[in-house]
Amino acid sequence: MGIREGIFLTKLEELINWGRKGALWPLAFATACCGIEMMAAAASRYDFDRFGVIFRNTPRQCDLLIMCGTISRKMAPIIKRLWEQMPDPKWAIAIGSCAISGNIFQTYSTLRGLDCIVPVDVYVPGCAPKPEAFYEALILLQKKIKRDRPIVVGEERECST
Amino acid sequence: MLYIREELLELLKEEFKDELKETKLFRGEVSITVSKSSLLDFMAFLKHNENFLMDMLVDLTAVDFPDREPRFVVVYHLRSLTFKHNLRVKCWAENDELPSVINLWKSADWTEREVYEMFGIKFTGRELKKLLLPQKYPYFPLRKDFPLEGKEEPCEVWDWE
Amino acid sequence: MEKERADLILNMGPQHPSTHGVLRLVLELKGEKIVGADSIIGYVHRGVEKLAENRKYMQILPVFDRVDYVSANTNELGFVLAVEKLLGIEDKVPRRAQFLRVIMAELTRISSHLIWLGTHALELGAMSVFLYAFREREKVLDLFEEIAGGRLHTGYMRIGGVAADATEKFLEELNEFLELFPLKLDEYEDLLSENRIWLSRTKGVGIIDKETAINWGITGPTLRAAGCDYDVRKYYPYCVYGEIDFKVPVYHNGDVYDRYKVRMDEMRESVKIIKECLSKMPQGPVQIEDTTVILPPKEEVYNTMVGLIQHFELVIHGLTPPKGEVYAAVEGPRGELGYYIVSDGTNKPYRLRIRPPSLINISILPELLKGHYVADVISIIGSLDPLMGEVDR
Repeated sequence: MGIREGIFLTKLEELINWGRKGALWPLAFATACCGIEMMAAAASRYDFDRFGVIFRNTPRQCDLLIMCGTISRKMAPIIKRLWEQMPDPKWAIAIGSCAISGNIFQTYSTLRGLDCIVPVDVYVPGCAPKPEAFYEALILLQKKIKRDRPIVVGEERECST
Repeated sequence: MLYIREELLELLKEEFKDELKETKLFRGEVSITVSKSSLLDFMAFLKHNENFLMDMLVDLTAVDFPDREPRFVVVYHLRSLTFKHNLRVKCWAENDELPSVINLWKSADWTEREVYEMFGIKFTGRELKKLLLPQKYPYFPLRKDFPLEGKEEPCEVWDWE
Repeated sequence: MEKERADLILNMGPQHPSTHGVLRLVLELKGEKIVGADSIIGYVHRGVEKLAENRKYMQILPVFDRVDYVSANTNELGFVLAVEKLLGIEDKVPRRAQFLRVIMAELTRISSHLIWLGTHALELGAMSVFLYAFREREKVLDLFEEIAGGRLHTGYMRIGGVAADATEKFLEELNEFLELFPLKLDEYEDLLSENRIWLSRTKGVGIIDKETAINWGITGPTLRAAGCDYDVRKYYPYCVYGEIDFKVPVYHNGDVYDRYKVRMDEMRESVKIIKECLSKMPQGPVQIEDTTVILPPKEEVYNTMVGLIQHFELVIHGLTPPKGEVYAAVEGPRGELGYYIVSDGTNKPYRLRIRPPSLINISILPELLKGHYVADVISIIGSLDPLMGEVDR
């Protein structure tokens, strides 16, 4: 319809959402066991690079926090600081039972889940979840980003993410 | 696992007479309880005497018996790599204090710090700092009267230090 | 030796791409040279020892998978051997179960050393080795999933045997893996062992000599690279290691390169151990006959009254060892993993202490790092192979 002349029609929101979901850059951050499954998900057999996912080492360049592993109370202020260092728009995925609710480690030094400190978008149950579960989380997050509305004209509204 | 032979145990009994409070054999393992005043001499004898040559301190830990007085017993596991024999040495910590064996075996460095922070036993002759918990943490978790879920503590305890 | 005055204090914080988890180092630098170092740990402290005092023996067994999370089977094996020693049933465990335990322990050693190789090489710049090592490791995880049901946390060991017998498919795939793996190891050595960059980053760096290592309580490949041949499988054999003929690689320089060579040779020896086990393994049961210690088979539980009652008692009340204390150790991929259990005659342990090899290995870091450059810190930490879940428990 217009492709031959190099013109295509879409909504601006869909274009922005397509750009954001196709290139999610997570922070390479792992505390405990689920981190090994994250490394396996990024390695040869289950390759994360084909989703546009590149692991970055500094939070200033990331837009996704994949929290893998048990959160101890000593580590919680540091995760909060990392989350605040990440620029908007940002999302968080909580991987594994320990990041959802504390799992079997209901002791004096663990935090009962990531959503005590950070607003979480996708929860992945399992101990440790297989790398295929990581794919499902990523695809669910992409669907969530697709329905997002980053631009609203004529209304006072806070940032959508 | 090989523990010291009968003759060597008799040698220790002759050398130290009533400093050795108790000797126990269970499932092939030899445990000796010594008094606090002779602990350093006993350990130095075990390390330097040519029948024993215990050059490796495998582990250092403590057990809490709240009904007894004194309450804590510190357990040392010693090994000789030349003769391949082991020995378990126990010592009751009167006044919650014991002399440190760090000048004999450097592996006591971090293990004594951990016993200090988990039980509250002080080791004299060295500087003590907490190892796994934050420096301001007010309780001693592995004591029997501390509940599993933990007690209330102020939030500043877990801050960055 | 008096300490030089430091120009800069640098924090290699818990979130860092190359510190193998959440290890925090505070380095005092003069230029690029380190004049003082301090390490702060405890960022994954989960209170496992306190948790063990509140759970029964069978209930606490799966938690040890998660303490040293890349070598789950060796952790469980250590605990199971300690409890069996306490109960006095070490000789009654069936032979087939002992051989299966050894096979799983050696496969775990291969899996753990492949993670070490991948991450160590990645941090020093060799990215393709990371991808190759994880490709082989996926085959080992497929084997674990076939026999035990779980990739990472297998839950395979039981007090008195193992969970399930090896199937035909498992034995077939295991034989294929054993044919293929030594060739892949040759590929990795081709890429790294004579590489000029690898040699200049690892030779002469982080030297620990034999007396220092023994004094600091270091065990495992770090000690064997320093010249001492201490290996728990040879000094105090457990399971059927006494009947298997294998070598323990020992090198003498004590630097990062020698620790790399020790671990590569250990992977080859593991392949030989598994082949010998497969040829010597007899047929038979894989669990002890005593139902006060292990659950009865499902046919009896569903069909007979006696089986149901025994199952009920074991799950609700649990096994009760006699009063006493034991210490049992296994050779984990990182060193000697020991369990010290004090029992007071009830169904829960009175005190359970895990002797963590990684904690005692990295306690030498503040001393060792003085005089090195910042870039050497990465090589040294990678070669000591700490696992923070085990350091902090």
